[in-house]
Amino acid sequence: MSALADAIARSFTAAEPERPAVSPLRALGRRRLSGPQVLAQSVGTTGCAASMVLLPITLLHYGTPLSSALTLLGAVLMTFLIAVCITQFTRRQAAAGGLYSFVFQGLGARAALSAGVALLVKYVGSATATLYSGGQALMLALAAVGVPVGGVLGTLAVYLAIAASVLAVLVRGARVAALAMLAVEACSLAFIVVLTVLPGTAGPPPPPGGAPHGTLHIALSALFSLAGFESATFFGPESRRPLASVTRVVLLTPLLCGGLFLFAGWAAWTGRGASVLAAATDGAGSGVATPVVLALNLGLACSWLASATASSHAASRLVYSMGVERLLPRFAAAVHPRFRTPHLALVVIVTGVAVAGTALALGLAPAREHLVQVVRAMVVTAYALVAVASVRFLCRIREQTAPAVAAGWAVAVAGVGLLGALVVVEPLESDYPVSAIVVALLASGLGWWWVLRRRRPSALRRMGVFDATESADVLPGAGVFGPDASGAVVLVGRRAG
Amino acid sequence: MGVRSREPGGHEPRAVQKAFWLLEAVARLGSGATARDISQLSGVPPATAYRLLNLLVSDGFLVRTSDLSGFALGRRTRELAGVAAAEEPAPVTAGEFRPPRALVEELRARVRFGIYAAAYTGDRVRLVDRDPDHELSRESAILTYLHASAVGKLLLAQHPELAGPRPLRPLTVRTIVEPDTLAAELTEVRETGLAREVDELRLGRSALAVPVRDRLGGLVGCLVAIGRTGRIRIDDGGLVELLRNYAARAADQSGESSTVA
Repeated sequence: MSALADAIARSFTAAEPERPAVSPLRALGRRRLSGPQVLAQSVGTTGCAASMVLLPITLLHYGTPLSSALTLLGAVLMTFLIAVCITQFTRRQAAAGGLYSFVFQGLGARAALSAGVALLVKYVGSATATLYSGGQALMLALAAVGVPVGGVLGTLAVYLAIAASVLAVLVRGARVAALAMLAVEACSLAFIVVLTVLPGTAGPPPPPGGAPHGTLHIALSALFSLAGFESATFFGPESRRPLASVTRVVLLTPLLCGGLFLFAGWAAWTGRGASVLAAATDGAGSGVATPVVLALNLGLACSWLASATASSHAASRLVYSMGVERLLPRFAAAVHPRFRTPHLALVVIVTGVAVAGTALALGLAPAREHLVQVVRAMVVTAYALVAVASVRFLCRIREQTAPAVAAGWAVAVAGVGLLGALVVVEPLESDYPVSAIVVALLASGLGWWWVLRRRRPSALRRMGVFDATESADVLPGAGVFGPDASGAVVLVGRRAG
Repeated sequence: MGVRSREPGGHEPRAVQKAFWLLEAVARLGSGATARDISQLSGVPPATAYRLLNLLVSDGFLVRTSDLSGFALGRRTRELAGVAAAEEPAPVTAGEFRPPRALVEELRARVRFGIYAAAYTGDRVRLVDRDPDHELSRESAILTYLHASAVGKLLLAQHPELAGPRPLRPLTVRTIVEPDTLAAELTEVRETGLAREVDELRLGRSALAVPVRDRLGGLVGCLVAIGRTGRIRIDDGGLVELLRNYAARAADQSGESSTVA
């Protein structure tokens, strides 16, 4: 009899453990999202329909047809390498903390807290910026149909309505949220693709732009348009076959969005996108027909609001994960009894995003560009950390392969270089203390770690929660269970400890 | 069943064989075996082994230890034994009832309880579709103590002789052990076409089962909703109607899907 047959035969008589191991993320609605729904989360976060309009403006300004195509391909390749690093984790664990939990597995608590701060700022910041832009586009669309919304009260009403609907959709459940995002993003993609290929809107092919530092500007714009492709990682525990579907989505999203960007670039350089771009840059004053302006603004509003929804969604799971680890107050880990979503975390995130977005719209906060700069630095930090973590993690579990290690180091080196450029070079052109804010945010992760180590070392021991193996998943009699550092029963190896 | 993912691809026809070598190596090394040890023992090259191990984990045939560095056999390996048993003489399972997966998923999306499907072949009951969202403890008891479960009562209503050796075993204080009470209950099941279970197999658990019948009216399987007592109302007319509706559709569609499979 083979050892396998023997183990299976023994399993029918083996006793179940007295204290079964259960996943710490049990309270969430587990194993509900299908592959397309997880994809909707990632594609929604990137807001690729809006980028299809904005990216060509950068291309026309800075590039030539050939250079922009090659640079776009380069940016997609770079993003794909980041995706490869992230999938080293998604193939092996499903965590509600996404990249934050992954960095913990590779680099430990200190780096994980830095990554946590970076991700929180990235997702809340992105959500704020896109909520603001979405609201503006919606108001333009309303104005185009003859319902001018203006003034403080009008702006407040629009943003309040948006925030309320976002919150309602997200609390109602991950599946509903994913379907809503899928529908909205699909609508905006359809609007923008149809507007681009519509016969009769083509203009003459534009001349090459060729502003200085063109390649760098295009590469950065494309790279940051693709950022957010990793947001599916926050929904591992809630997807049906997490290790397979999240991995697939993380690899597929950059390619899918990159393909759409190439299409948009082609349309721009052949002159097909001329009227869309004119409407996007000059609005109603461009001489473009009102229905086109209306459709474009509706498409942009849909894409941005889907992105704001998806970013808030991802941030809520990060906050939930930190709540389960007791890094944040316990209410962050509360789960709605019926909808199985972290509703209190969602309320906090969406309220914060709505307040910040409205402040931007009313001109009470610094400009959107500064926020975007901070968000970009945070994204690069998170990617660089997860790349280094992927190498360390694979070496720790002794599953390293040459391509995976090479991808990890390549992304890490590129990320550190890019972060340096963003922190040191950019501010020379800016009058706002963006660099100081970025450095302060990076330091706050370390500060948090220091405080926790002094005050609440127990929280540090609880870090790194993920959808761990449950007793019910293990062949009876084939696993060894024992307590982990925080005392919970988990599946341990013979050699562990 | 088996390694479903497309990733090894048709160009790697030995992937299934290698997967079995890996499972065998994990069984030999025991809980906590590392990928590198498994690769060495099975003779599968490391890069291939790591990829296949990840696929086996994602399909539940293997599980990872809490530090992610080791492996242990997953509960789904039992299905391999099931495959072997089914391929042996018993041709009975060939025509076994199995509802279309999409149909059961659709039903699951509409209720908050665990939805299971069971098949009856001769005197045997087998769960053929388990709800991934709702854990079912004491699953074997459902299949063994027919008098205590809604799934079992449907079969007993058709074949009372299967009730097993008397006295009937009490599994909880609410298990029906009086032969007369059970007979009355089975009569009601026959008349209403509906079987109920309240705290009888396990305290705190209730279930509602409706039969699935073939074209000739023979009992081939059932759909059952299982939930916490009090949460699932066994006299819930809406739920009964919903289950009956899906049972009828399952009966219509299972014939087609089994011929395809």
